[in-house]
Amino acid sequence: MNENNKMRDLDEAELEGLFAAARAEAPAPGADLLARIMADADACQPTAPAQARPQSGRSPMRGLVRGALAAIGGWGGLAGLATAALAGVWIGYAHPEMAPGWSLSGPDATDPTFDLSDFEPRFDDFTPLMEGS
Amino acid sequence: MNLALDLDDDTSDEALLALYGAGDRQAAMTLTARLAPRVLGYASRLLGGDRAEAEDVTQEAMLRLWKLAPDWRPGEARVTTWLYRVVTNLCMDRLRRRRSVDIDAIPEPEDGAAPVTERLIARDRARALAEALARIPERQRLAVTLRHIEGLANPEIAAILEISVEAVESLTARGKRALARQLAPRREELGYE
Repeated sequence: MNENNKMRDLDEAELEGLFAAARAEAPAPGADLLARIMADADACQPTAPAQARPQSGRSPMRGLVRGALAAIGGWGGLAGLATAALAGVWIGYAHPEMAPGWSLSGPDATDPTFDLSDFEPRFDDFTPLMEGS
Repeated sequence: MNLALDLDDDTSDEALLALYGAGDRQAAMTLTARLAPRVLGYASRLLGGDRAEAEDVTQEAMLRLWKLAPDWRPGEARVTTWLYRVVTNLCMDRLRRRRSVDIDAIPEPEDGAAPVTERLIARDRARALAEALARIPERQRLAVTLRHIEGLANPEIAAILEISVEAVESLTARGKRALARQLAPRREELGYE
């Protein structure tokens, strides 16, 4: 290497060779440093927002239904009402002759005597239903 | 600590910071795995290779990022730009307290997996560059490091150093000229003919 070349400034490519060497020397963070950083992250993390229940946009009808339900004794009361309604439908459809004396204008209107057995369902009361299916 | 994370995830740093602010811990882990190596490398270069001090700066910069998360305004700046600025300021404060970079304190670079001759040359070059960088003016050192070692674009460097792009170009050019002149006598030692 002659003296002139020795004193010539480094050129672009030579400088880039130095920069590349510096880039390759990058230190990697150790587990301890990463743990310290994450401990700080945990300490600073804002509280996660709670899963907010939808307070707005609630239907006023839901309030009414809830009130009505409470008035009849809750779900138990509603079940009782439903049973009574179904029983009424069944009595009227399957066995209307069970209560002949209830008709004020019927043939038995003059005989208001009933026996408990008049209200007992018979197996053949279901026959029309079975045939209709 | 295992930070085996999906670094290929294309979620931006800004989106991850917002997720962290909303209570997502995994976002903080991904940000740490992505940013800590860059911050540590940059701090280490500015501080002349002082590993312990560079780690302190890295932790401090990341702590400031966590604290900032709830107030981060998306679209205003890039997380990396903000972080490089914080690290630059933290390192400059420490260097001013120290008065200068102690060139003798620049550690021998760690050995890699490259062949011995190649490794020795790379080590010598990295050390020679670190020594030369320590001797040029502070602003030139910052501009050259950010441009040619960190690989940032001039507009981002301008944002980090809070100067114009033209000023970045000027600092980088002058810094490189100073390095080229300083290292000329060591050409042979650096493996150049």
